[in-house]
Amino acid sequence: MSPIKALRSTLASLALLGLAMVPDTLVALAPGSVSGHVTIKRGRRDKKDRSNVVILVRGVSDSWPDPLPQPAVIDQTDKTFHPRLTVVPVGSTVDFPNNDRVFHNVFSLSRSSTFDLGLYKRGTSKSVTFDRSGVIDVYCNIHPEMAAKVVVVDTKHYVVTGPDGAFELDGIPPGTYPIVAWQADGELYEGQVEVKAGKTTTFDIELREERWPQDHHTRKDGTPYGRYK
Amino acid sequence: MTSSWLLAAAAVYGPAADDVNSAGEAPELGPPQTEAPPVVPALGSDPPEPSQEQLDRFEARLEELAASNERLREDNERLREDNERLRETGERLDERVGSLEREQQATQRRVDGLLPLSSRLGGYLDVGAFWAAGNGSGVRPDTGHVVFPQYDGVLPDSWVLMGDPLSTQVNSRGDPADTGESLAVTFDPVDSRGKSSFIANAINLDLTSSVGKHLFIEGMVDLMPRNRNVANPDGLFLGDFIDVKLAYIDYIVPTRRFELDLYAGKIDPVFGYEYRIQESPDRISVTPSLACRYTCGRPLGFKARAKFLANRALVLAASLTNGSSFQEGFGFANEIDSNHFKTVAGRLSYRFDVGAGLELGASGQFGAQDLQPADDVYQWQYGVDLHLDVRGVEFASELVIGRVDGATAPGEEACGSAPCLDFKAAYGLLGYRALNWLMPYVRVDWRDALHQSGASFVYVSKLMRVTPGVRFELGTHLAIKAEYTINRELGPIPQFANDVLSTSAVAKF
Repeated sequence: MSPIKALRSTLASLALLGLAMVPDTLVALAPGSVSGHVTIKRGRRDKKDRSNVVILVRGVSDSWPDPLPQPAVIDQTDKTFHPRLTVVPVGSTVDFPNNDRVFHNVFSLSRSSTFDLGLYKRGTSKSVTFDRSGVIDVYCNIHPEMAAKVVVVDTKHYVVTGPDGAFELDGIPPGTYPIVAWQADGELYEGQVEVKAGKTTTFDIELREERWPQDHHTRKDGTPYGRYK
Repeated sequence: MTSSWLLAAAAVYGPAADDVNSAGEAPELGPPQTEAPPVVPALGSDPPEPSQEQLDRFEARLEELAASNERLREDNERLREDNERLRETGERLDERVGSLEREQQATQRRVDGLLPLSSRLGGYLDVGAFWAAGNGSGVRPDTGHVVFPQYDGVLPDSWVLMGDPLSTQVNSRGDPADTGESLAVTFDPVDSRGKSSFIANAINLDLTSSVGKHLFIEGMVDLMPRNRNVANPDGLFLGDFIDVKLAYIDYIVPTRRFELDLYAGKIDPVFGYEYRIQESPDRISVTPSLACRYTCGRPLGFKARAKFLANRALVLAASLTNGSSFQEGFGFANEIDSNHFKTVAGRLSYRFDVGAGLELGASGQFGAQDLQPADDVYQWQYGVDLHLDVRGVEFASELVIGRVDGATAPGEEACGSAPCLDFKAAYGLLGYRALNWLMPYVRVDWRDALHQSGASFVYVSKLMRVTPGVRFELGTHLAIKAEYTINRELGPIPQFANDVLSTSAVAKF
């Protein structure tokens, strides 16, 4: 056999061998998923409403999220922010329209994002783009009862639970990753989850909510709101 | 210079580029197509001598490959250097960011350390104009004992007063346009005598301070530009004066299960709802309701206010004070107590999650009567209140019922030693924020009271008021209010001219 033929023959053999190995390789690279339920203890009882828990799988390579194509909206009606919790990927914009017939002044003193939108009236809106991940407490400088939270996540592998507490995160490459469950009024859960190729890992989380959450905050200049506020 | 083994290898394994067909396969080496003799090398044996043409081609090819290799090496070196530079830049940026973060934290610590006390000086200026019908007073004497003959022979007719001395209020403080012939309410800071007038209602200064996280201090005064009659020996015309409205310390108890505030000093009362909005910028209307005299006074003492449940909807407040929640100037309130029995007051309220809130409250108050020395002469009142704020509609309503027992010494007229008062009062105020800057409103209030002081006087009050008004808000610092109060006497009391037009421009700072 000529050297060229020998080489081609060898290559062909290797190719066949490679083909024989493809299914395993593909399986090894196939993403897995994590699903489960969140339960929330409040005192001794299970809380029925398990919504608004943010579940994140961290440390996944190439998981930087794309910003939302359209801004999220936190509406101001009846001196209340709606919704009170908003979760957005980093780089996303949130609109704060004022639909009350009184002026509002939305601000935040959180480290991840400090902003002051100033006074604006009904029918107008102002926006903030969140470039850093973290939890941002949003308040109104006039109405102390107005409070909301914006959670800015730096991964695309996140989900927010509904009332039943169920969650599912897809498209995660195999591996062992930190998993975090965050709630507004209670402890943070941090654990490890092993994601297997092409399989769904069941991962249930139990959280404990503060029975008496506190939210003492001041006006944007650090002074108290006043006697009845 | 090319080694012979390399040339041989190139001849055997490395077909020239032009020998590669379109499929990318090297052609089989077969018999020579030209003059070149067949060369079939055998591995392990010496390679045959290549022709000069082959050698030239190999030489050119090798030089080409060497040049390409050199370029690649240079590119690789450049990329490596770029990568190194980027890495160094990244490290420098990381260090810089870390340094800035540390610097910011240190600065924040310094600022926090320098400013454990954060203070704010606020307040407002309230100016306006008013006109009150008649002589500006809300009372008239029962001349000739025509309406209330039962007092004939008991009191002179000019001491039997019909109406309400505070029904002609012209500003948020509750100052009447004139006290007229009133005998109990004699402090006459406006003294308009039925004439229209501009008025600087108050210059309000409000100093609030937080000392740390748990201590809050507030002092509030009104500077009052008023008439001064130096010839008046009664001192009823004080001239410009200062009214200290609040002076208290609030300790915010660091509890977890509920919020608890403890107050000491000259504090807000705990009774009803209106006391919370009695400052001019907070009050929708220009003037207070007829019930405010019973609920808006600011006594001296202690107060505790606790908020319960997760949303802090349940509020319990209680106070122990020198006097009641009657307003100063009404004749039943004093700051320094004149007896040992203090006044106990409490309010329980719940806020339902309707719109911006639907709050229902119930209040009660009991203590020794103010401005008299006995501990066993009592004064009490109770009431309910409601406040709703939804979709621009604001509704507040309150009912208060009470009694001041008074005292009568043997042989003297009823309530001769201490005045007596039986009262009921209520109001409902409905406002609609039609636009950011426009809020029309209407208030209806009612009062039924009998105020008696031995042989000194008796007031018979039974009236209803309707007060339509409008409030303009120009931004958050300036509000202009205008309202017209229609006073209507009820029962046997004849109508008399005491309607009031009042306006107010409030600039808040």
